Amino acid sequence: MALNTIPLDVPTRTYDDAGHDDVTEFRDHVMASRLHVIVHGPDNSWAIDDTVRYLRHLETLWSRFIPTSDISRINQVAGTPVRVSPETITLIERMVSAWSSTDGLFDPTILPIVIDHGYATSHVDPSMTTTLPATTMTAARYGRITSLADVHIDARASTVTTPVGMALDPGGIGKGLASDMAVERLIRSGDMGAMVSIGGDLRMDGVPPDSGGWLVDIEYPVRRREPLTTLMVDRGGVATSSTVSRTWKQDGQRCHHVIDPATGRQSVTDLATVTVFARAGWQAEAMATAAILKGSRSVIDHLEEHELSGLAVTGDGTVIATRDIRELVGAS
Amino acid sequence: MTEQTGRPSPGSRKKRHVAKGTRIAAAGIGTATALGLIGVMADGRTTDEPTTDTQTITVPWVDAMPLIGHLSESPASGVITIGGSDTRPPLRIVIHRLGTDDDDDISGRPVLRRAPDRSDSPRASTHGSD
Repeated sequence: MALNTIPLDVPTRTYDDAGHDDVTEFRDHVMASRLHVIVHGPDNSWAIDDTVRYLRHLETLWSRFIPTSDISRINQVAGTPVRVSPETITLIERMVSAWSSTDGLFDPTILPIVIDHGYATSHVDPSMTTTLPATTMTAARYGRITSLADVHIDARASTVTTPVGMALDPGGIGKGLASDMAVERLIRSGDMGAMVSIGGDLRMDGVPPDSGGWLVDIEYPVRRREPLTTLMVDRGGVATSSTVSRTWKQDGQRCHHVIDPATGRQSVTDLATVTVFARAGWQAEAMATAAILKGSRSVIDHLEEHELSGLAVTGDGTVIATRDIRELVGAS
Repeated sequence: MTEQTGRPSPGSRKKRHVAKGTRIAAAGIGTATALGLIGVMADGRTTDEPTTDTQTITVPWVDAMPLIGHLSESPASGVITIGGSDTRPPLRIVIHRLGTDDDDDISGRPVLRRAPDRSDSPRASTHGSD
């Protein structure tokens, strides 16, 4: 498979003579999710087409549902070095960082457990299924003995070697990182500011259209007419982890995709959603994935300990938040 | 992550002009170099050099020109527009603070503010997260 299916160099663009700062919004779908792009800068039609192409390129590299993706190839031949794209090297480096920073609460190696819980087939395209080697599924069922610390990344050779029995899932970090990469690409190409949201996992940077920051609506777990609150963010990432979206039924029971790595079972957290504000999209998404496991009793302390901002909504609709957000919205 | 690849679909686009930023004092260029520069727009072209936090640029005619700056309130980024004349278009400098996203440390929060009661600016949403 060609590693670079689109030109990755970034052409430069020009401002018009009048110095107008255009703001363009664009909506589409990528990575089985809603895509929302806001670009603050000149000549943005080219930039938006390029962004969509770039994100679809990342999807072909990272999707576990595409057999030829870098991730699928790594998972198929665990124990063997696999040559991957530079973007995939970055993805796996971020996975290891997030796993380490969260003491394993974020764990992208639980893919066999997710599949055993019934999430093998794409919810968007039922013809696409994740298939893992029997040895990997067996290893997971008898207790995982592999660790992300054993993943060998050779950035110079652009290869990744995972231990036998391991499978990686970019869910919980991939969309946030893709947003990061897309925003950085837009700004490198000459935009003053950009926001990219993939399924509500956001990254924003540069000069916002509004001088006070980027406006972000924080939605209820089940979307209502009005958002829970709206905040302005100077730059960084925002991501939400949820137990009420992407659910399915297995043996008559409603299942969600939040797995507790400590038990290898579906999490019994009492939280419906956790939204995290961090310096980058991948950090926000990975920390949201980890924080929702903490439950309502300790999620806020967990975020404060990591110097992160965030808010959580419990299953009964109670909203709790870190101190800075409580002060902004005037809550007790 | 299942969406098929291919040509970008038409999607939906909305375009608007926005008001220029707040006028600031002539000391803006100092702020710019302190924050780090990644893009310099001059004579209608963009230079797209790889940059670091410490990169600086030389603008030989700056001292001789009036400086009219536009800088966002955020210390992270901003735009400075310098003068221009009958024969030379304005110099625009886009500033971005760099070097925080590649850290292994996952800690650290952005600056949050209360949103204004009314704003015509486009807004992002957490809707659609999983």
